[in-house]
Amino acid sequence: MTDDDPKLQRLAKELRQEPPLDSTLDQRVMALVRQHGPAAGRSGLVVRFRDWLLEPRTLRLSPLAGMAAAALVLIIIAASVSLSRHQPARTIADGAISQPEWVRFVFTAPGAAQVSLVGDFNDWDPAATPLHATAADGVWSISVPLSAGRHEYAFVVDGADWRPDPAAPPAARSDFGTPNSVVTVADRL
Amino acid sequence: MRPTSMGALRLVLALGVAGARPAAAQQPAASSLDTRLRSRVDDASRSRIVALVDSLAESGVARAPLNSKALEGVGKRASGTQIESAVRRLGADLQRARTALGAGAAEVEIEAGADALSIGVAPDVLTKIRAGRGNASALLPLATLTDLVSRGIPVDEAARTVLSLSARHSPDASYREAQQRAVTRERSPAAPGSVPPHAPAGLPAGKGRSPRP
Repeated sequence: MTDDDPKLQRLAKELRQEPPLDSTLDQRVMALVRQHGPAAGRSGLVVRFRDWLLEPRTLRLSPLAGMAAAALVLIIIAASVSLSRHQPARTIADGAISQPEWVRFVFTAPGAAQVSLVGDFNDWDPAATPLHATAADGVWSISVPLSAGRHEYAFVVDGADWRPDPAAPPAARSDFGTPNSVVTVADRL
Repeated sequence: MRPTSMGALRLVLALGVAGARPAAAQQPAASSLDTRLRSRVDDASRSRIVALVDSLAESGVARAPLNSKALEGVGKRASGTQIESAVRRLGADLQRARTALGAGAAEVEIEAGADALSIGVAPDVLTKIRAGRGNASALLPLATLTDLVSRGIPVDEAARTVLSLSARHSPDASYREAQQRAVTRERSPAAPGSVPPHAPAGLPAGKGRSPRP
């Protein structure tokens, strides 16, 4: 059989002819496209943005850039923690303060290995609120959020030595021998 | 940075944000009074103290200051008898303060009033202070009264000062200034004069009293 074979030419001609199409096919296809295709207008943008967010992709970073990005994240976290710990806190010496506020407790204990704050706000638990040593030698401090009320407290030096705050009013009661101090957080009733 | 590491990054950020929350960090949950007492006092004393707190609470006294007093005793290694006596005294003062201040008094006012009663302030002074404050809280005047007496000001004089401030609807700063003058007077006992009812302007709170940096 060669290319000039009439039978082959007739067969090729038939194969090249487009099959007859239903006259309503175009309408049905467009209806389906409108029903399932991408939304138009604003919702289309939303869908594309969602797809962009969800689409996995690979970022190529050099080790140096990766370390820089990690350092930036750590700096942001450290800064947020630092800001939260250094909110303006009044000292006991400011007298009565508004509620609820951070109150800064400062105690001088030269030679102490540890100092903690105990009071009615932490169940008088020496392990609950340790003070931090400041840059000044022998000076310890901590800021604590207190609710409105009259709070009794004391400092515990090296786990056993209970001492009042010399900068604060003494508590009215001394039921157990060692005196307490008082800080009043004023309410706004 | 691969997509799988995004989850780790979110976790790190979440931990960072959680670590930045300050409010509850320094405030441990309240310990069980019974458990703390068990570590320090004998069973008989513990039972008496717990029963005393329960009894006072049933009579309307707030449980929190009673528990706190007992826990203070535990922390200071007091005996069961000492703790029981201290809780009983505080309970009685809280009941008297509630009676003097009236049924509408807030718990913080009642506790401040109980402190004032414990150092010799008459109940009718508490009643007058509460009445003079109207809808405002009496916490600050009551606390100031106690602080003045604790600093060595005679009870009658301290009561006159605070009642005068209260009657004049003085701002909170006036009470702080009264306390500051009591501190100054305490440090200079030879200084003549008493605490005037009116606070002169220009005495900033916190000055001359604190050794803090």
